Amino acid sequence: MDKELITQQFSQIPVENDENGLIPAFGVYLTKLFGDYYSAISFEFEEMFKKEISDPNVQEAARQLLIEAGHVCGFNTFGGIMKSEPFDAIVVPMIKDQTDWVVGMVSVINVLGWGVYEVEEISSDKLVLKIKGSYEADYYNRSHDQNADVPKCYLALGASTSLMSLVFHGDISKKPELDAEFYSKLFKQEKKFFGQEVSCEAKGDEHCRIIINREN
Amino acid sequence: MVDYITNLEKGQILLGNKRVVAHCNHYNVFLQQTLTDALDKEIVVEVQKRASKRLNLEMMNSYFETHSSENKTTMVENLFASQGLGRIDFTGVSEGKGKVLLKFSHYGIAHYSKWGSTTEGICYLPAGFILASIEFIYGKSKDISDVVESQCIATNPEEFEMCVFEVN
Repeated sequence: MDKELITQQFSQIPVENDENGLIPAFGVYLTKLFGDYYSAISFEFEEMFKKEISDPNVQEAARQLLIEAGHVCGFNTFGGIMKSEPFDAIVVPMIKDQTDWVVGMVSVINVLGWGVYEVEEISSDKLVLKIKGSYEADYYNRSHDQNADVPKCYLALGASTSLMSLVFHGDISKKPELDAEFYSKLFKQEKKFFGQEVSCEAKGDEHCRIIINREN
Repeated sequence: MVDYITNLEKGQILLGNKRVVAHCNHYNVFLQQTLTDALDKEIVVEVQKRASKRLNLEMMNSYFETHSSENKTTMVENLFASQGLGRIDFTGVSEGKGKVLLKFSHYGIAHYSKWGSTTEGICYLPAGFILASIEFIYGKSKDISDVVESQCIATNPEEFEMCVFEVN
């Protein structure tokens, strides 16, 4: 796949507001808000949980809520993009097997302002994704004096899990309806995908790296 | 037309000095609702308004450095729309006080579509944007205490065609 070409061509698609100040695109309404806003409210939420409840399991539950929001994001935004006419026109002709859906979509992510995403390994059971300049880690590093003790790219982790689920559980090539029932099916069935951020720029690592695996 | 600068090598889009990211209506309202459901609502709402005010004010000041010939009110109205947040109207504001109207609120419409009708205003990010705009246009004033969303489309879109914010 010509990943650079995909990124270039998607970057030429105008994503601008209509007369109502809304941005309808890819079957959703997009916004172009500050990455710092999402990160600030997410990290402050996590800190508030930490202060109020010392139980590490509860703190982990707070992180899982943020990752769940990432699932919702990936499901709707990636799902909408992969079902769109531009994806049909630009990416689908290059697709040779199912893993190319993931590689193609990751090339599109690079126009969303989230940082530079790169697929390091892909199979029907596993995705390894390297991220340079993740907006979540970027904000963390600018707003904290010390490195984080846990990885911070909750949106990236949740959205990447959704991407694998859409392609290998949901068969997005058949353009399914992106509704609540389909969402439940993707995330509640057996052998669902789960992810882990194994390195993070917010922890002082060189890059962020996310691994998505299928449950045994 | 608002200038967004894209840097594909860095995977970044800039508005003024701020990095912006594309997200959809589903994520925006899901994240907001998750936060407000999980902890003390009043505090979490304040966190969102405060973050929005701080970041928007920084962006407005930075953007104005290269667009100083523009009328400040028109500039902030266009910035708001360019972010996909709806159409905001400051004509009801004088000396930093009055009513701000918001038509087609992204948050209001998305919230109603996903969760149904709410009993109170849920446009926290726009409220922070308004606080930032008032300070940007009129300067910092001790008299401006808060912005209250007195009418929100998410409470009843059949009755209310727009959101209304009172600048106290």
